[in-house]
Amino acid sequence: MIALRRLGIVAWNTFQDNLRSRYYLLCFVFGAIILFVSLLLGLLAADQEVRVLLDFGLSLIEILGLAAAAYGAATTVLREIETKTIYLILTRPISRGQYLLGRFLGLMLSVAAAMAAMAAIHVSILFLKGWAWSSLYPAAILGSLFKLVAIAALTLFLSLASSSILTALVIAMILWTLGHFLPEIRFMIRWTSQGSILAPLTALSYVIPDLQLLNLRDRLSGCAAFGRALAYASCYASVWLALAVARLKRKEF
Amino acid sequence: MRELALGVALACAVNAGARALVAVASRGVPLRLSPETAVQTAGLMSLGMRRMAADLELIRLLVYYGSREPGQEEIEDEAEKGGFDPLHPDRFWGGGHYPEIGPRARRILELDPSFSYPVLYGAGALAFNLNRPGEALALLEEALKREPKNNEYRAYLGAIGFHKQGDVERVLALLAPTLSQPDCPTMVKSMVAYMYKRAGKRSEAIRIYHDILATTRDAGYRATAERMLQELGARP
Repeated sequence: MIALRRLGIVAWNTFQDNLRSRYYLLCFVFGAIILFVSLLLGLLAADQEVRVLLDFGLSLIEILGLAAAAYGAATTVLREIETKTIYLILTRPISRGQYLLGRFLGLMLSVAAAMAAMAAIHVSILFLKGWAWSSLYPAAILGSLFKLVAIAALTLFLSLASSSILTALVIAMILWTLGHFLPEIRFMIRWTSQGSILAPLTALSYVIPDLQLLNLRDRLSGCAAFGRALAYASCYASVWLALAVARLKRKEF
Repeated sequence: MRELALGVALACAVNAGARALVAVASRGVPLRLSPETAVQTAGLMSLGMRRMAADLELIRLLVYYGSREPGQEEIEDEAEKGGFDPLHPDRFWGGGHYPEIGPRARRILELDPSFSYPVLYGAGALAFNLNRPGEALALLEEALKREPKNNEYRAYLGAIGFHKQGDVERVLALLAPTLSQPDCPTMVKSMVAYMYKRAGKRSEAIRIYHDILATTRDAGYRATAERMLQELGARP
C-alpha cells in the first residue's frame, strides 16, 4: 500500500511537471491546424468531408501523442541522471522500481490528458460539421493510447540500455514504422521462396510490437478487438517496463 | 546486454501468444500503388494511417473527375437542348473519357476495403455518366468480393444492368432506396432526380433536389438542384 502511494506521488509530480511544460501548447496548435484543415477539406472532399476530417484528426492526435510519449520516455530518466537530480529522489525512501514506474505512469497520464484535450477540440469541430457520435471514436483514441503505452515502455528501456536519447528515439521510430507493417512483413515472409534472405526480418517480426493489432483507428469497426488490444498492450509494455526497472537497478550513478 | 536478450525473448513470447490467440487477417491481395502517390501512401501506411491514405486517394479521384480533360468541350447547354437519352447518358452529362476512374477507385478499395463511397462514385460515373457499364460492373464485382453483404453494391449492379437495357423504371426502383444512405454520392442523387423529372415523377424529383440542397456544399450540384427546382415550379 505504501509502495503504491509512493508510486502515485511520483506519477502525480511527473504529471504536474508535464502540465507546466510547453507541450500543452501542442493542443492549441492542434486546434488551429484542424480548424484550418476543416475549411480546406470542406472544399476538397465534397460528400466525404466528415470522414476525412475524422481520420485526419485521429491521425494528428496520435502523431502528436507519439511525439510527446516517445520524447518523454527517452528523456524523463536520462535527463535526471545527467542533471543528477535523480540523487535527490533516490535518497528518499523510494525504490528505483517505484521511481521508474511512477515516472512512466505520470508521463502516460499527461499524454492521455493531452490526447483527451485534443479529442475534445476534434469532436467539437466534427459536431459542427454534422457528425453523429459513435462509440467507436473513444475506442479509436484508446487504441492510439495503447500503441503509445507500448512504444513508450520500449523507448524507456532503450534509453536506459543505450544511455542515449537519440539512439533510443531512432530505434523507437524504426520499430513504430515496422510495427505498422507487421501484417505485410508476415505476408512477405510467407510467400517468399528465399527464406534465408528474410531470416533477420523473420526474427524481427517476433520482437517488434504488433501495432496493427492496436490500430483501432484504422479499422473503425473494431470494438470487439478492444479487449485484445488492451491485453496485448499491457503485456508488451509490462515486459519492457520490467526490464527497464531491472536495468535501472543495475545502473551505477 | 542480459536485459536486452531477456527483453527480446519475452517480447517474442508476448507476440507469439498474441498471434496464437488472434487470427490476424493477412492481406492476401497485393496493393497496387500509383507512381504519383506511392511514396505518400507507403509513408502513411508506415504510420498506420491506411484510412488517411484512402482519403487522400479519394480527394485525388474527385479532383481528377472534377477537372476537365484536355480537349473536352463544354456541352452542358447542348445537352439541355438535346435532352437526356438513357442509352447515351455520356452525351448529356458532359462526356470525357477519364480512363483512371476505375483503377483509382480500386486502389482506394485496396487501402480501405470498407470504404464504399469511391466504388459507388466510380461505378456511378462510369456507368451513368461515361457510358462504360462494363468497367462499372467489373469494379462493383470486385468490391462485392470483399464485402459480399453490401446491398448498395448489389443495387448498383442491378441498376447498371437495367440501364444497359434502357429500362429507366427499374433503374430508379433499384437506386431509390440507396439515396438515403450516408455514402450515396451526390452525383448519383442528381442523376436519379433528373431521371425522375424526365419520367414525369415531379414530387420524387423535387424531394431529391431538396435533399441535395440540404446535404451538399458542392456549388455545382447546388446550382443544378436550384435550377431544376425552378423548372419544376418548386421553391429551392
